[in-house]
Amino acid sequence: MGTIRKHILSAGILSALMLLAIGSVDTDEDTKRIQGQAPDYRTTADALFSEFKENEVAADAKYKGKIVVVSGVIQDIGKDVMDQAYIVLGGGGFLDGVQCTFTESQNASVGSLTKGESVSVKGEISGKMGNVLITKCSLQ
Amino acid sequence: MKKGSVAIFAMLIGGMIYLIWRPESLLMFAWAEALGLLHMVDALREFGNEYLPNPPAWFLNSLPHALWMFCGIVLLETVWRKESIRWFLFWTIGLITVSLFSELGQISGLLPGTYDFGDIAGMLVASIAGYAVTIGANINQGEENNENGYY
Repeated sequence: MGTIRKHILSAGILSALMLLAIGSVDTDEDTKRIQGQAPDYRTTADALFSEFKENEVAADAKYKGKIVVVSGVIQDIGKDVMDQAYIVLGGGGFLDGVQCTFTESQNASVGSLTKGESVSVKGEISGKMGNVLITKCSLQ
Repeated sequence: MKKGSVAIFAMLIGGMIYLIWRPESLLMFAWAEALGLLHMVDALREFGNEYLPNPPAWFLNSLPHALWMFCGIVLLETVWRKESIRWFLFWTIGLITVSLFSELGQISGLLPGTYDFGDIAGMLVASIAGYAVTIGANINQGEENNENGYY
């Protein structure tokens, strides 16, 4: 076997091992980390949306990247364009609630929810885009 | 048994540990699903849960990476055997360095994952074992140094 082929084979071995290492990354690690942390704020979905509606700049500065526990009535349950499960808490009109997005491991829990049910959700606020968005959520 | 077979066996054992006992939120389970292999993985996990004892944390968390490191060193030796010890060392030290930095990168949060000193210790032990197996086996075979200075 030529030296160049041996280098290619060696690179292939390294790549295969790197692939195994990448495959062992836990996609739910952020959710687990957030589950284990004390929340920065506890609030209701309607109160949180009101704060963002009142002054989005101030609310972003206060909440963005923070961990919150939000409680409210489920207005909608669905899957977004990334095929991630979400629920919308509070509001009642159009884009006036808090949208909580879940990772795949939470699908079974989200699947058992019903509209109109009151729940509390813990997650990380990422800002407002219509609804106030909370990611890496878990049910409390 | 040939060294290459031992290396492949070590890699498979490491993979089996992940597939049987680790949480399904790992990226490799999404790959298995995309490849249509999830039913096989589920059967494996059911078998493991029913018939195999619950292993200790080090077995689940540190052993697979150590086995893969061992596998890498032994396979690289089979590639570079009798050719060049310099290139063998180049690739194996590269493998060890990348693995160690990927573990240390978890401390600073640069890379995903949870830093565990057990992982580093496991990798170091596996590296020593890998070199010991490859060099020891060649000494036992009585191979003489070739012109490139290997063995």
